[in-house]
Amino acid sequence: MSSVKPAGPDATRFKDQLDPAAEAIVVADSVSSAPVRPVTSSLRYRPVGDFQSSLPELSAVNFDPWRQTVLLVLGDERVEIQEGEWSSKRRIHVGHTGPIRDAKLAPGGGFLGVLRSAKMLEILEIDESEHSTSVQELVRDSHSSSAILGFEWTFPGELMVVSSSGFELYQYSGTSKNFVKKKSREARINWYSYWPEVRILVTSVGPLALRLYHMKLDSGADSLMTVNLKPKGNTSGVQSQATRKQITVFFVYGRAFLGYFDLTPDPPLLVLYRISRSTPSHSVSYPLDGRGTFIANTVDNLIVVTNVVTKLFLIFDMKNDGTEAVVSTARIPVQDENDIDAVIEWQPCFPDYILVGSRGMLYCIQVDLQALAHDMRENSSGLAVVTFLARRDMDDPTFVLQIVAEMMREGASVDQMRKAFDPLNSRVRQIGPSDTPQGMIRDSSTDSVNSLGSIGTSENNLNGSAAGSPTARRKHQAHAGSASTLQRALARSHEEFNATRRQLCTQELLFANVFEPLSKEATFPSVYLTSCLFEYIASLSVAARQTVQPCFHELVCDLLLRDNRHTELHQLVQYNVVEDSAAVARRLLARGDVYAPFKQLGLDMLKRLDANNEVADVLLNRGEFLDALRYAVSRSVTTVPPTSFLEAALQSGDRTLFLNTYKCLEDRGMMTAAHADQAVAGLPPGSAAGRYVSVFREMWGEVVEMDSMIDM
Amino acid sequence: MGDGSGSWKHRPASLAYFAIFNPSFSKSEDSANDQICLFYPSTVPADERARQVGLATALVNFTKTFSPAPCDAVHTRKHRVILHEVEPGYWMLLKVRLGTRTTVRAGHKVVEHLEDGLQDSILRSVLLRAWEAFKLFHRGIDCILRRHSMDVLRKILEEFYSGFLPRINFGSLDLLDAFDGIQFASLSKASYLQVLSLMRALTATFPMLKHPILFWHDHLVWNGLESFDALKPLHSYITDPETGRVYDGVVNQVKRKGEPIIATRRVSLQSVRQSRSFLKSPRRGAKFSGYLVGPVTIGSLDVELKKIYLGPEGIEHNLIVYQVEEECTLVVPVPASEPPDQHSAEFYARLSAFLDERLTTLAPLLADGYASAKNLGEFADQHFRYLYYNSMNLAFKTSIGSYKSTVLTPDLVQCLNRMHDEFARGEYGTAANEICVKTASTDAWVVGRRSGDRELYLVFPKSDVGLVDIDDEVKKFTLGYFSDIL
Repeated sequence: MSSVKPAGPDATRFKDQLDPAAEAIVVADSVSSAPVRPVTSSLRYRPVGDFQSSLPELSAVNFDPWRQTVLLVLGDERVEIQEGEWSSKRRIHVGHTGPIRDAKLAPGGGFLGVLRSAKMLEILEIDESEHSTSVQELVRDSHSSSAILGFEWTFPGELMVVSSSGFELYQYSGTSKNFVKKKSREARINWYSYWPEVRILVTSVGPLALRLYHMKLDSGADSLMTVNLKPKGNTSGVQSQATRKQITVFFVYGRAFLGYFDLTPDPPLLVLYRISRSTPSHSVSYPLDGRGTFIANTVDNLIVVTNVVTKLFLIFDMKNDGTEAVVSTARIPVQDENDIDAVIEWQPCFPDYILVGSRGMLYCIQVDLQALAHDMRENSSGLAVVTFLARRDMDDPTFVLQIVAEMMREGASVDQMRKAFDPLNSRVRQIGPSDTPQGMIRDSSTDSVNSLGSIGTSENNLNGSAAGSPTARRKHQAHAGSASTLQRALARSHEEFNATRRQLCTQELLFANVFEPLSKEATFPSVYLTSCLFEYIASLSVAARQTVQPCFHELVCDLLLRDNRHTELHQLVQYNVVEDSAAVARRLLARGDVYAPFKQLGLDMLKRLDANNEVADVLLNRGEFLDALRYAVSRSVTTVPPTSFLEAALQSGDRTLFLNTYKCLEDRGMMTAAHADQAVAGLPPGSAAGRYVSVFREMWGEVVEMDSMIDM
Repeated sequence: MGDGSGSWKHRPASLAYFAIFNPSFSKSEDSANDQICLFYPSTVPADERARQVGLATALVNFTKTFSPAPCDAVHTRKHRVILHEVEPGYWMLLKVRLGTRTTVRAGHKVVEHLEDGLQDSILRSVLLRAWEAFKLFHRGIDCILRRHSMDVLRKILEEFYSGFLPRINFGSLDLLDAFDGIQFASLSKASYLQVLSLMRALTATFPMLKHPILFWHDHLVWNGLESFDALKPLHSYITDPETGRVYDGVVNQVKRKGEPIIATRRVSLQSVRQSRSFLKSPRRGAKFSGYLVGPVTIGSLDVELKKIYLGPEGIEHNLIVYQVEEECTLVVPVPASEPPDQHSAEFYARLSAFLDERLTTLAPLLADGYASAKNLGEFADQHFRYLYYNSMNLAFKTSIGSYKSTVLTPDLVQCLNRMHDEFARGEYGTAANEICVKTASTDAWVVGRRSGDRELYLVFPKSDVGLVDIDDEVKKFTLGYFSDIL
């Protein structure tokens, strides 16, 4: 939860400058003369909260991104709660018992904690009306040095109070109607920060020492790693201590990281430590640009670092090779100079919100992937851009496919194309109304139930598809405690996650946007296109274990036939790389005159597909009448007109063959014996079939009569 | 060989003559020998040669008056003669002595000529194979004659066939000789996609290698040639345990003398297949890896390019053969029209490095495919004696001789030969397509089926069941193992 103090009278100015209905602030800059890239629209700041009406009396703002609640402290005796997409506003009278240093709403909205001073925390019970009732006062005045640093609502009915001598965990007791201390940890704490989404408490236990805890249901707290920060540059004076603003926690690609802005070297560094239960593992150091004050957010698993002094931002992707920024030193897209002035007050809210208290605004950061990809294309290979985009959360992957097609037009190596196809095929996104920019996708490569990252993921996933709705988020938060064990929660979340997966770049999209158009370009090398197609099919079949759509097999078939690569196609059909389909079978049969084995392959394929009519037709057309008849009989084909067989038998000039054919059809019900003198089954009397009946009578009438006599 | 009492003696069939001639070269009876390009054995007197060739020419000319298709086989009491016009004007003549059984009856020797031992269709296959093998290395007779004199042609033919013909055992010809089929590697779709990827990478990295052929042992994995027919002579030659050895025209001197290039293909249905050591890989590095045709040592310029001629047009190619761990063999005919990169040591070094890396990775995949297919087909192989051949892709598969229990007696093998001969006599649709025979001597059922371009033979030994039950057994087998195609 983040809080800021408003900037006073200047804050009103904000009202005239910002149109809350605006989709985003995207404008030119005129502030810095630093050698930075031109204005980029790869980041957008979408206004999501507006509390300007409260600005005149506002003394502090708290935003809880997890519960999507803004809590405004108005003077010393009222708080305003904005929730439900900020449509609902409640003003609560908390009484006038001193200044309000901090106020936070409990999950479910039943309790409000108000920190009156460094010694006293008051807990109030609130109801739907604007009144509140004091439930309890937690006082820490046994030692003069003892001070309450802050408090956090961890789970429904659970409270953590952090003081300079440690932290205590309280749980609400229904019988005593107050919060009972369940556990406490002694430690000398200089400051702390709490990250509710991953339930990680970071405490400063020394100038450069941090100890981390993982909060658990039922007042549990697991000790995590202790980090001794080691600044790279000279540590003198103030820089020898890590401040709260230098520390952040990231949750990217399903893993939690502790971020430390090391300001001592030049350029400063953002150092990320993978959070674990034991020793910290130093992950990576990202060089920042210039000196200043840095804030960080995560958007769609990207780390956005903003220098609020220089008004520049960088975007890092942990999965990129190296430590170079994806977007380096781009200027913050703000509307005008007033907005530029306000950047210095920007307060990051985990994960992708920016709170500007002085302006009474809350923004959500969004990445414009299309613009970002365009920028990346200038310096990066197509493969790098595609793999980058494949990791992103996109609704419309069409422009990714455009880059794929572009790569192929540029003649990227087939190996590179395979590397591009693999992530596109394996990439999935969650179905549902979720439009949260936060990374909801679990990357399979980082899928580890034992990692702490999974903890955060599991809780995200427990939200299911309703994660995007603040209301739903709160509801989930209220019930999050129902998971009895972490493992059970993980298992359940995993199931739910898998149940709601779908492919982002579907085969149909790739076919329609890449392969089909390229196959129609007369100048595009079909050999290369075929190789790319094979790699795509291999990627689907081997890497993504998906069934390949028939259109790809047909296209492979067409391309190979176009190039007269008959033997190759023959082997591909033989090994089922080109799978059976009626369309492929027909193509093979049509080319049978040029490459004889295709006649066999096509017919076999039709047989496997149980296209019995077509098989019989093909055999009859080839003049293989007996085979056609045998096949029809063995497969009980009744839909091929008996006249086809009878005509073929008659044309052979073999009377016995005609007799046998006639009787064979008759025995198998393909001719109705009762009407044999008139018609063939399915055909009206007097039709063409009647001719064969007459011929039969003429040829073999005596035999038929003898048969009848024997039967008698 | 006798039965213990010494009452009979058996002599197998053997080659009498093999000749290549062109009647147009002889203008008169005196110059009859001029038409003969090759007569084997060379020890036959000139008069006898002229007589044999003259007789064959007369037969052809005589029969031409009755039919557009001239006589192509002659049966005599003691011989079988096969004739085939291999190139316009050029005829090949194969005369084989029938096997004999000599019995002693009432103190007199009675010689019986075993007419059933040799089938025309099989002899014709042998003749064509001999011709295809020559064409592979020499393109054709006429093209040699256009460039060289008749003496040179005779010398080339003599040199080639005096090595080739003695290897043919006319006494044990069977369907293996008739079909000369290819065993395909058993691979899943996923594995085959990896093969495809390797072939694509190979041709992308070495654009001149347009038609790679990959073998795993003697199993074909990938055929990059334009057709299977084009592959047939090359495959036949280098997988043949007799011809495909080092020092034998194809390969250089890298491997020890007498070692097969790829593997030993079976030569007779009557032999038990040696237990395959495909899956027993002692240790890496212990097996041979290197060029079988190419440079003697990588990096050396000692490159011996072997010329071969492929396809109906006999296009000249230079052959490269590389083997990895004696498992995977890449055979690449490079069109002679390609730029001469093949002469550079650097090219061979790069190719070797590429293949060592890729094929070593691929080999376990191929071995797995073989093992799973073997497991899947083990029941069928042990319980059914079958032989399958598809002339469209030359695919060949048999369980006969795979186990001791599936070895056939000579009379059953001859029964199969006769069935095939029957099928081969007529065009499909006009000849028999299914034959069931119960042998008197062994009391076994032999069933042959022909479906389009495929043939399937099944043998049920010592069976006391009737035709209906055998038909059921055949149905059961085909449904279980060939339902997709038959």
